[in-house]
Amino acid sequence: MNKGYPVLALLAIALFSAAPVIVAQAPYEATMGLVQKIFYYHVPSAMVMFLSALICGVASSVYLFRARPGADRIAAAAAELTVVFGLIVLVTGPLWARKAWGVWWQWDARLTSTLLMWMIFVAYLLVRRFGGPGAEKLSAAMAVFGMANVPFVYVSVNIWRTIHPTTRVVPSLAPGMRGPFWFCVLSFMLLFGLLLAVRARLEQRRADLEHLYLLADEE
Amino acid sequence: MQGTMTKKLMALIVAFWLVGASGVRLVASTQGQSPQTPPTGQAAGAEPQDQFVPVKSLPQQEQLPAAPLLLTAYGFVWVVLLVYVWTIWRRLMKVEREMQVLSARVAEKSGRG
Repeated sequence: MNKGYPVLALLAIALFSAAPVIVAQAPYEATMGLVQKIFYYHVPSAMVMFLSALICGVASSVYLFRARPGADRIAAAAAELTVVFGLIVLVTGPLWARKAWGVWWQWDARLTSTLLMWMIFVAYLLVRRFGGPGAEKLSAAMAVFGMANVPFVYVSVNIWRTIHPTTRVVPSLAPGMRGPFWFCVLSFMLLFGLLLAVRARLEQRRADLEHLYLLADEE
Repeated sequence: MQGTMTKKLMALIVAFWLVGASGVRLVASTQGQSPQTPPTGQAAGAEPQDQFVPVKSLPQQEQLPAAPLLLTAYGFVWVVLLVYVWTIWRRLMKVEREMQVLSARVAEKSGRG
Protein backbone atom coordinates (compact mmCIF):
# COMPACT_ATOMS: atom_id res chain seq x y z
CA MET A 1 0.00 0.00 0.00
CA ASN A 2 1.15 3.56 -0.76
CA LYS A 3 3.15 5.07 2.13
CA GLY A 4 1.38 8.40 1.71
CA TYR A 5 -1.99 6.89 2.70
CA PRO A 6 -1.46 6.91 6.51
CA VAL A 7 -0.36 10.56 6.38
CA LEU A 8 -3.40 11.52 4.31
CA ALA A 9 -5.64 9.44 6.60
CA LEU A 10 -4.30 11.28 9.67
CA LEU A 11 -4.81 14.61 7.91
CA ALA A 12 -8.40 13.67 7.01
CA ILE A 13 -9.11 12.64 10.64
CA ALA A 14 -7.63 15.94 11.89
CA LEU A 15 -9.72 17.97 9.44
CA PHE A 16 -12.87 16.04 10.30
CA SER A 17 -12.27 16.50 14.03
CA ALA A 18 -11.70 20.24 13.60
CA ALA A 19 -14.73 20.73 11.34
CA PRO A 20 -17.44 20.83 14.09
CA VAL A 21 -15.38 23.40 16.04
CA ILE A 22 -14.98 25.61 12.97
CA VAL A 23 -18.65 25.19 12.04
CA ALA A 24 -19.69 26.17 15.59
CA GLN A 25 -17.90 29.51 15.12
CA ALA A 26 -19.73 30.26 11.85
CA PRO A 27 -22.57 32.83 12.14
CA TYR A 28 -26.20 31.71 12.37
CA GLU A 29 -28.45 32.12 9.34
CA ALA A 30 -31.14 34.79 9.84
CA THR A 31 -34.30 32.75 9.14
CA MET A 32 -33.26 29.16 9.90
CA GLY A 33 -30.95 29.70 12.88
CA LEU A 34 -29.00 26.78 14.35
CA VAL A 35 -30.37 24.04 12.09
CA GLN A 36 -28.84 25.73 9.01
CA LYS A 37 -25.45 24.45 10.23
CA ILE A 38 -26.39 21.05 8.78
CA PHE A 39 -25.54 22.78 5.48
CA TYR A 40 -21.79 22.46 6.27
CA TYR A 41 -21.99 18.65 6.07
CA HIS A 42 -24.98 18.27 3.74
CA VAL A 43 -23.66 20.27 0.76
CA PRO A 44 -20.06 18.91 0.79
CA SER A 45 -21.57 15.38 0.92
CA ALA A 46 -23.70 16.26 -2.11
CA MET A 47 -20.65 17.64 -3.95
CA VAL A 48 -18.74 14.43 -3.25
CA MET A 49 -21.74 12.37 -4.35
CA PHE A 50 -21.84 14.26 -7.69
CA LEU A 51 -18.09 13.90 -8.18
CA SER A 52 -18.22 10.21 -7.35
CA ALA A 53 -21.11 9.63 -9.77
CA LEU A 54 -19.18 11.43 -12.52
CA ILE A 55 -16.04 9.35 -11.87
CA CYS A 56 -18.13 6.18 -11.89
CA GLY A 57 -19.80 7.15 -15.19
CA VAL A 58 -16.55 8.12 -16.93
CA ALA A 59 -14.72 4.99 -15.71
CA SER A 60 -17.68 2.83 -16.81
CA SER A 61 -17.62 4.44 -20.27
CA VAL A 62 -13.89 3.69 -20.54
CA TYR A 63 -14.59 0.09 -19.49
CA LEU A 64 -17.44 -0.26 -21.99
CA PHE A 65 -15.62 1.23 -25.00
CA ARG A 66 -12.00 0.34 -24.27
CA ALA A 67 -12.51 -2.85 -22.18
CA ARG A 68 -10.02 -1.83 -19.48
CA PRO A 69 -10.49 -3.85 -16.26
CA GLY A 70 -8.78 -1.13 -14.20
CA ALA A 71 -11.49 1.35 -15.19
CA ASP A 72 -14.15 -1.12 -14.06
CA ARG A 73 -12.50 -1.41 -10.65
CA ILE A 74 -12.48 2.38 -10.22
CA ALA A 75 -16.13 2.49 -11.34
CA ALA A 76 -17.12 -0.13 -8.74
CA ALA A 77 -15.32 1.83 -6.00
CA ALA A 78 -16.87 5.13 -7.06
CA ALA A 79 -20.38 3.62 -7.27
CA GLU A 80 -20.15 2.40 -3.68
CA LEU A 81 -18.97 5.83 -2.53
CA THR A 82 -21.82 7.50 -4.44
CA VAL A 83 -24.23 5.35 -2.44
CA VAL A 84 -22.50 6.10 0.88
CA PHE A 85 -22.33 9.88 0.39
CA GLY A 86 -25.79 9.86 -1.20
CA LEU A 87 -27.13 8.22 1.94
CA ILE A 88 -25.59 11.02 4.01
CA VAL A 89 -27.23 13.62 1.74
CA LEU A 90 -30.62 11.88 1.88
CA VAL A 91 -30.58 11.64 5.68
CA THR A 92 -29.10 15.02 6.64
CA GLY A 93 -31.40 16.83 4.17
CA PRO A 94 -34.67 15.70 5.80
CA LEU A 95 -33.25 16.46 9.27
CA TRP A 96 -32.67 20.03 8.09
CA ALA A 97 -36.01 20.18 6.25
CA ARG A 98 -38.01 19.07 9.29
CA LYS A 99 -37.09 22.28 11.09
CA ALA A 100 -36.76 24.64 8.13
CA TRP A 101 -39.81 23.53 6.08
CA GLY A 102 -41.87 21.74 8.73
CA VAL A 103 -41.80 18.45 6.77
CA TRP A 104 -39.29 15.61 6.46
CA TRP A 105 -39.68 15.21 2.72
CA GLN A 106 -41.11 17.07 -0.26
CA TRP A 107 -41.61 15.41 -3.66
CA ASP A 108 -40.06 18.31 -5.57
CA ALA A 109 -37.62 18.16 -8.50
CA ARG A 110 -34.38 18.31 -6.46
CA LEU A 111 -35.26 15.78 -3.79
CA THR A 112 -36.95 13.34 -6.16
CA SER A 113 -34.17 13.45 -8.77
CA THR A 114 -31.51 12.98 -6.06
CA LEU A 115 -33.37 9.95 -4.72
CA LEU A 116 -33.67 8.51 -8.24
CA MET A 117 -29.97 9.03 -8.92
CA TRP A 118 -29.09 7.35 -5.64
CA MET A 119 -31.35 4.42 -6.50
CA ILE A 120 -29.62 3.99 -9.88
CA PHE A 121 -26.29 3.53 -8.08
CA VAL A 122 -27.84 1.17 -5.53
CA ALA A 123 -29.14 -0.82 -8.53
CA TYR A 124 -25.60 -0.73 -10.01
CA LEU A 125 -24.23 -2.41 -6.87
CA LEU A 126 -27.04 -4.96 -6.75
CA VAL A 127 -26.55 -5.89 -10.42
CA ARG A 128 -22.81 -6.28 -9.87
CA ARG A 129 -23.35 -8.41 -6.78
CA PHE A 130 -26.17 -10.66 -7.99
CA GLY A 131 -26.20 -10.23 -11.80
CA GLY A 132 -24.03 -13.28 -12.56
CA PRO A 133 -21.64 -13.46 -15.56
CA GLY A 134 -21.59 -10.31 -17.69
CA ALA A 135 -23.04 -8.17 -14.91
CA GLU A 136 -20.05 -5.79 -15.09
CA LYS A 137 -21.08 -4.56 -18.54
CA LEU A 138 -24.72 -4.19 -17.63
CA SER A 139 -23.87 -2.27 -14.47
CA ALA A 140 -21.42 -0.08 -16.43
CA ALA A 141 -24.26 0.93 -18.74
CA MET A 142 -26.36 1.78 -15.69
CA ALA A 143 -23.55 3.95 -14.33
CA VAL A 144 -23.53 5.97 -17.58
CA PHE A 145 -27.24 6.69 -17.04
CA GLY A 146 -26.53 7.56 -13.42
CA MET A 147 -23.83 10.01 -14.50
CA ALA A 148 -26.21 11.61 -17.03
CA ASN A 149 -28.47 12.44 -14.08
CA VAL A 150 -25.87 14.60 -12.32
CA PRO A 151 -26.32 17.88 -14.29
CA PHE A 152 -30.09 17.37 -14.21
CA VAL A 153 -30.09 17.06 -10.40
CA TYR A 154 -27.77 20.06 -10.07
CA VAL A 155 -29.81 22.52 -12.17
CA SER A 156 -33.22 21.19 -11.09
CA VAL A 157 -33.49 23.81 -8.32
CA ASN A 158 -32.99 26.63 -10.83
CA ILE A 159 -35.39 25.34 -13.47
CA TRP A 160 -38.36 24.03 -11.47
CA ARG A 161 -40.27 25.65 -8.64
CA THR A 162 -39.02 24.12 -5.41
CA ILE A 163 -38.53 25.06 -1.76
CA HIS A 164 -34.95 23.74 -1.81
CA PRO A 165 -32.30 26.55 -1.83
CA THR A 166 -30.91 27.30 -5.31
CA THR A 167 -27.33 26.85 -6.57
CA ARG A 168 -26.74 30.60 -6.09
CA VAL A 169 -26.46 30.11 -2.31
CA VAL A 170 -22.87 28.80 -2.27
CA PRO A 171 -21.28 31.53 -4.48
CA SER A 172 -23.06 34.22 -2.46
CA LEU A 173 -22.09 32.92 1.00
CA ALA A 174 -21.19 35.57 3.61
CA PRO A 175 -17.44 35.70 4.47
CA GLY A 176 -18.07 34.19 7.93
CA MET A 177 -19.80 31.19 6.39
CA ARG A 178 -17.49 30.81 3.38
CA GLY A 179 -14.41 29.71 5.36
CA PRO A 180 -16.09 26.91 7.38
CA PHE A 181 -17.93 25.73 4.27
CA TRP A 182 -14.82 25.35 2.09
CA PHE A 183 -12.97 23.80 5.04
CA CYS A 184 -15.67 21.12 5.20
CA VAL A 185 -15.54 20.68 1.40
CA LEU A 186 -11.77 20.12 1.64
CA SER A 187 -12.25 17.57 4.45
CA PHE A 188 -14.88 15.65 2.51
CA MET A 189 -12.87 15.72 -0.74
CA LEU A 190 -9.74 14.47 0.99
CA LEU A 191 -11.65 11.68 2.67
CA PHE A 192 -13.33 10.80 -0.62
CA GLY A 193 -9.97 10.58 -2.44
CA LEU A 194 -8.60 8.28 0.25
CA LEU A 195 -11.66 6.04 0.37
CA LEU A 196 -11.71 5.79 -3.42
CA ALA A 197 -8.05 4.74 -3.51
CA VAL A 198 -8.48 2.16 -0.74
CA ARG A 199 -11.73 0.81 -2.18
CA ALA A 200 -10.18 0.53 -5.68
CA ARG A 201 -7.29 -1.34 -4.10
CA LEU A 202 -9.75 -3.80 -2.59
CA GLU A 203 -11.11 -4.47 -6.11
CA GLN A 204 -7.53 -4.89 -7.37
CA ARG A 205 -6.77 -7.46 -4.66
CA ARG A 206 -10.00 -9.31 -5.45
CA ALA A 207 -8.93 -9.50 -9.09
CA ASP A 208 -5.50 -10.81 -7.97
CA LEU A 209 -7.22 -13.42 -5.82
CA GLU A 210 -9.38 -14.55 -8.73
CA HIS A 211 -6.24 -14.88 -10.87
CA LEU A 212 -4.58 -16.93 -8.13
CA TYR A 213 -7.60 -19.26 -7.95
CA LEU A 214 -7.34 -19.85 -11.70
CA LEU A 215 -3.64 -20.56 -11.30
CA ALA A 216 -4.33 -23.02 -8.47
CA ASP A 217 -6.93 -24.82 -10.60
CA GLU A 218 -4.54 -25.14 -13.56
CA GLU A 219 -1.76 -26.76 -11.53
CA MET B 1 -80.80 -26.01 45.50
CA GLN B 2 -79.82 -24.22 42.29
CA GLY B 3 -82.06 -21.25 43.17
CA THR B 4 -80.33 -20.86 46.52
CA MET B 5 -76.93 -20.91 44.87
CA THR B 6 -78.00 -18.23 42.38
CA LYS B 7 -79.34 -16.04 45.20
CA LYS B 8 -76.08 -16.43 47.15
CA LEU B 9 -74.04 -15.54 44.02
CA MET B 10 -76.19 -12.46 43.35
CA ALA B 11 -75.82 -11.37 46.99
CA LEU B 12 -72.05 -11.78 46.72
CA ILE B 13 -71.88 -9.67 43.52
CA VAL B 14 -74.01 -6.91 45.08
CA ALA B 15 -71.81 -6.97 48.21
CA PHE B 16 -68.61 -6.63 46.09
CA TRP B 17 -70.19 -3.82 44.08
CA LEU B 18 -71.20 -1.93 47.25
CA VAL B 19 -67.74 -2.35 48.81
CA GLY B 20 -66.08 -1.23 45.59
CA ALA B 21 -68.32 1.82 45.17
CA SER B 22 -67.82 2.94 48.78
CA GLY B 23 -64.06 2.48 48.36
CA VAL B 24 -64.01 4.74 45.30
CA ARG B 25 -66.10 7.36 47.13
CA LEU B 26 -63.70 7.21 50.08
CA VAL B 27 -60.61 7.72 47.88
CA ALA B 28 -62.34 10.56 46.02
CA SER B 29 -63.30 12.32 49.23
CA THR B 30 -59.75 12.07 50.61
CA GLN B 31 -58.36 13.60 47.38
CA GLY B 32 -61.06 16.26 47.44
CA GLN B 33 -62.53 15.58 44.01
CA SER B 34 -65.46 13.73 42.54
CA PRO B 35 -64.86 10.31 40.91
CA GLN B 36 -67.03 11.45 37.98
CA THR B 37 -64.52 14.14 36.81
CA PRO B 38 -63.91 13.53 33.05
CA PRO B 39 -60.26 12.83 32.19
CA THR B 40 -59.93 15.49 29.49
CA GLY B 41 -56.87 17.50 28.49
CA GLN B 42 -58.59 20.76 29.43
CA ALA B 43 -57.75 22.66 32.56
CA ALA B 44 -60.31 22.35 35.35
CA GLY B 45 -62.96 25.01 35.03
CA ALA B 46 -61.98 25.97 31.44
CA GLU B 47 -64.68 26.33 28.80
CA PRO B 48 -64.68 23.65 26.05
CA GLN B 49 -63.01 24.91 22.86
CA ASP B 50 -65.45 25.56 20.01
CA GLN B 51 -63.18 27.65 17.75
CA PHE B 52 -59.57 27.40 16.49
CA VAL B 53 -57.65 30.67 16.45
CA PRO B 54 -54.83 30.89 13.87
CA VAL B 55 -51.45 32.48 14.73
CA LYS B 56 -48.56 33.45 12.43
CA SER B 57 -45.79 31.78 14.47
CA LEU B 58 -45.58 29.18 17.21
CA PRO B 59 -44.84 30.24 20.78
CA GLN B 60 -41.18 29.64 21.77
CA GLN B 61 -41.96 26.67 24.06
CA GLU B 62 -43.92 24.91 21.27
CA GLN B 63 -41.20 25.14 18.61
CA LEU B 64 -39.21 22.07 17.49
CA PRO B 65 -35.68 22.36 18.94
CA ALA B 66 -32.91 22.50 16.32
CA ALA B 67 -30.05 21.09 18.41
CA PRO B 68 -31.18 17.41 18.41
CA LEU B 69 -31.66 17.52 14.61
CA LEU B 70 -28.22 19.09 14.12
CA LEU B 71 -26.51 16.62 16.45
CA THR B 72 -28.31 13.69 14.80
CA ALA B 73 -27.15 14.87 11.36
CA TYR B 74 -23.50 15.26 12.43
CA GLY B 75 -23.55 12.02 14.41
CA PHE B 76 -25.04 10.16 11.45
CA VAL B 77 -22.26 11.37 9.12
CA TRP B 78 -19.58 10.18 11.56
CA VAL B 79 -21.24 6.82 12.17
CA VAL B 80 -21.78 6.11 8.46
CA LEU B 81 -18.20 6.99 7.54
CA LEU B 82 -16.69 5.00 10.43
CA VAL B 83 -18.83 1.95 9.64
CA TYR B 84 -17.90 2.22 5.96
CA VAL B 85 -14.16 2.43 6.74
CA TRP B 86 -14.53 -0.57 9.03
CA THR B 87 -16.30 -2.61 6.30
CA ILE B 88 -13.55 -1.79 3.76
CA TRP B 89 -10.87 -2.78 6.26
CA ARG B 90 -12.67 -6.04 7.06
CA ARG B 91 -13.14 -6.95 3.38
CA LEU B 92 -9.52 -6.11 2.61
CA MET B 93 -8.27 -8.26 5.50
CA LYS B 94 -10.45 -11.17 4.34
CA VAL B 95 -9.04 -10.99 0.80
CA GLU B 96 -5.46 -10.73 2.10
CA ARG B 97 -5.95 -13.79 4.35
CA GLU B 98 -7.44 -15.78 1.50
CA MET B 99 -4.53 -14.76 -0.75
CA GLN B 100 -1.97 -15.91 1.80
CA VAL B 101 -3.63 -19.31 2.14
CA LEU B 102 -3.94 -19.72 -1.62
CA SER B 103 -0.36 -18.55 -2.30
CA ALA B 104 0.94 -21.11 0.19
CA ARG B 105 -1.14 -23.82 -1.49
CA VAL B 106 0.11 -22.87 -4.99
CA ALA B 107 3.73 -22.76 -3.79
CA GLU B 108 3.33 -26.16 -2.13
CA LYS B 109 1.87 -27.67 -5.32
CA SER B 110 4.59 -26.24 -7.56
CA GLY B 111 7.25 -27.48 -5.07
CA ARG B 112 5.86 -31.01 -5.35
CA GLY B 113 5.65 -30.78 -9.15
